[in-house]
Amino acid sequence: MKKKGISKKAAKYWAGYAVKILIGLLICTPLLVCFMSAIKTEAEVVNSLGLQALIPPLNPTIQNFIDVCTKVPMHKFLLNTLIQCGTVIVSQVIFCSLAAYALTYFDFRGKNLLFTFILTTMMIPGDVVIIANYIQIQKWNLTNTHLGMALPMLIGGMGIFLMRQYYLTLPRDLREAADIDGCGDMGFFFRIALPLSVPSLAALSIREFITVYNRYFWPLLVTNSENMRTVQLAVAAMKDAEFNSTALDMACAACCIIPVVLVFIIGHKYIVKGMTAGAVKG
Amino acid sequence: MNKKKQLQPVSGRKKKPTPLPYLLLLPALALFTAFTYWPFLRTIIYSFALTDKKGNFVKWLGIQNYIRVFTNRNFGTIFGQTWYFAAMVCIGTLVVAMVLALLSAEQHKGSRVYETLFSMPMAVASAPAATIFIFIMRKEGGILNQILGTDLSWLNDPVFALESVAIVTIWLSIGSTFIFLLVGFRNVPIDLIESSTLDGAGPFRRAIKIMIPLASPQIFFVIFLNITASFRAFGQIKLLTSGGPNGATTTLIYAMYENAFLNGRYETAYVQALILFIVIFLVTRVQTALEERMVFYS
Repeated sequence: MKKKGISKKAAKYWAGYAVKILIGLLICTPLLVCFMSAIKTEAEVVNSLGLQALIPPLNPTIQNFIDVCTKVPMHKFLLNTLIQCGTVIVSQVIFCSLAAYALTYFDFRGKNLLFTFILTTMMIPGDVVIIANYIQIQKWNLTNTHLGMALPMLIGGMGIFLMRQYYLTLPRDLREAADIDGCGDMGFFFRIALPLSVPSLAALSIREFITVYNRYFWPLLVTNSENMRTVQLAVAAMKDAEFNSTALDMACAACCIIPVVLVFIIGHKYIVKGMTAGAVKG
Repeated sequence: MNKKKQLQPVSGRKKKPTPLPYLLLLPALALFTAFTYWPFLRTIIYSFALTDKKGNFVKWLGIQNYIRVFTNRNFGTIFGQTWYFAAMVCIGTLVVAMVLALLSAEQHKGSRVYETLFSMPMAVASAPAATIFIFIMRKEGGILNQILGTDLSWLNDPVFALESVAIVTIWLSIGSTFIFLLVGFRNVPIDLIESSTLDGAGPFRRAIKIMIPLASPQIFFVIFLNITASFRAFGQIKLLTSGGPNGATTTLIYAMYENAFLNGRYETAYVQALILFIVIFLVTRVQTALEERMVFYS
């Protein structure tokens, strides 16, 4: 009797699980459409009416990917994007940690004022100052450079806040013990605080990776040479009928989506952490 | 979000003042000054001036730019469309993400799989999403037309273009909204859920009476998050419809882009950037004010 009850419960659980996976696939339908179309021939894509777009082709082909990569330097666009992601992540990890460390472990004049100064930046969205920033970058002759593309992203109030939230959870005794052992202020930072904060740094890094990878507005403004094109701009340019082929557009979109989706799946735990740390009280 | 309350230093030791904390803060402060405060100040200043095609100062105009922007016959339309778009995105995203989060509120072994699937769209950017949705929403043989049994050219139809862009934006936003709501629902104490089940409450009743009220901080947060995010939606508008047909999908941020980079009217764009700032600022103030009154904190 008891055993039967358990198996019934298990059956209910698995049925619910299957339904949830199906709903999940439904949410991801646009991605399936993209990947399925990317491995079809142009004729198959154009002739796939409605939901046929979700059916895999009889003869999957990678010709679209080859065509995209021979017609435009996709590897270069991907490299440009990765250089951007790397620069922003390194800069934010260093500068946000340093600033958060100063705001957590030191007492100094003007501390509250400086903290307010940093938090207030979160009230000014980047899109509001995007024109003024563009004019500035242009005046400094930094358009079409990696530096110009990265500059406004090199620091973030959210990153400082995230790191500070973490440092606040470190026990006081740790600092005192380190003090007694003769560990200086910077020694404590490099040997204890920074290594312990690796999970928070991972959360910050993955968050910034996705943000920078998916950025469109700013690179659109500060670059116009094909040399500096990012993946997002490449997808947009492809869509604007450089070759007038839906299959190629989809292959290009798939090239753009696959790396970031992989990072998303691998780092899902850290993404949740980075988003929700300190976002809502309660 | 009371951040200011936690300003006490972790170690209360008295030490002689050192320049070290200032040095540590210097890069952050310099970057914020150069790329947030200074451009913000310039945006304000130049909104009162005439600029040339390169955005350089020509002469002062006082409030003339503002008068021109507010009396422009399209301004009301653009402003209305911005809010209509925000309402659609906010409500649509909330409903879909809420259903998904309620479905996955109970944590199981293997629940990571569908949680990842539910939140996957947040990893996708507006550019590839535009490519995909142009295909899905196309007139001849598009998936959307087949499912709904319609024969519409969604993105080129003045009546449905803004709604279509909103659908794409909802799809892009459900992932992050889902994650925030899931955290809220998972914070609901398990004994509360169990005792309500013993009292005979079904899943639907449990959601309405227990889960949603107890997750109200997160629900409240995502409502405002999606409103402000929709004000900043740019890539999908540019790539799906370019503000058209006939201005039907032009929101404040797209009008700003158009004025600055297509028409070379930087001063007008600065005024619109400031209106965008004020709208976002006011929405955030409303959020803080309402949060104190309405949100239920256990």
